[in-house]
Amino acid sequence: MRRIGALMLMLLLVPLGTVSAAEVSKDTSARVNLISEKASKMSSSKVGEYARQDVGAAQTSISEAKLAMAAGNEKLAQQKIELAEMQLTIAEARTAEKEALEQATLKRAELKKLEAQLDSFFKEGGK
Amino acid sequence: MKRILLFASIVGLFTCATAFAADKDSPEGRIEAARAAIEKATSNSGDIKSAIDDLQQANIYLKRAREAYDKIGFLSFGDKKKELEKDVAHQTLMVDKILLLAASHVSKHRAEEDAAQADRQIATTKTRIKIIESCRSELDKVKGDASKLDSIAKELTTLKAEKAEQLKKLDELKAENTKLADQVAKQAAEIKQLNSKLEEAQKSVAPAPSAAPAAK
Repeated sequence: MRRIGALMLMLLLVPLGTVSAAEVSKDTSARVNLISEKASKMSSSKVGEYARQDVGAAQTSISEAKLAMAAGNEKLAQQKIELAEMQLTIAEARTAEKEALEQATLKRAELKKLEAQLDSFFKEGGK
Repeated sequence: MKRILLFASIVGLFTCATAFAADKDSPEGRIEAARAAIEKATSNSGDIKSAIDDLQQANIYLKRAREAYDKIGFLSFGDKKKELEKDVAHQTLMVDKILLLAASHVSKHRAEEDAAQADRQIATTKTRIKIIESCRSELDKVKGDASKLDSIAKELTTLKAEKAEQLKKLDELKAENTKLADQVAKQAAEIKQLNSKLEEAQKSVAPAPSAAPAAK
């Protein structure tokens, strides 16, 4: 009776294993290639410089997506791709944010310089 | 009895703490945390369009998390339950990420506003400086003209002094001239007088006109 039970269990587990090892869809594969390429390009651009951590996190997610693909786990692969896409979007946004902050800092410095010039004029008076 | 009560209190507190810690990582805890984070981000985002779009997206992820959570029913267990819990974890993680994106968009927007405000102040300050510089330049010109006027005034004073000296000399010359003219007039009168005396003397010394032919 036990043998039969074990056999039944094995028969149930074999198809499950086949399903989990199944190949992921071409669409997921294309998405991971696309996002991988994008991350690679971004890491060598100013985004890689300004948002290194975010690009690094996205590359980790891409690696996890590839592992999930290799394991045939399409859903996890898609989730990791979605996460990587979001992390790259955040990296781009952080780059734009840092550039805007730098620009604001430069403008403030220019203003401070001009105000100092104006102050010196007022202090000098009519001299 | 006291020991039992103390033990029971400790066990009670430990149980509560464990339950609270577990609650944070439970699907409902994640959903609640995501909901509260969206609410907080909404109050911080104001009317920044990009952030509002992000928050809409965050709400979509929250809705997906709730849908996954709703599927975790009494009948789901084992792998199915774990799968749904992973779904909730993923969707709430996406909420966290999109809130980071929203925060970045808000920060960028504020930095841009700050830069724009600084730009306006720069323009105003530059205009003020330009006006002051223009006034200074005008003042320098006036000062230059004033110094020129000073030298002209000095020159005029010198010329006036020279003129006065020349006039003085002219007066002296005129006086001398008058004096000389008087002398000349006196001498002319004297000459005239002498001439008349000479004529008289000549008349008295001269022979009678009839004796002259007899002497021949």
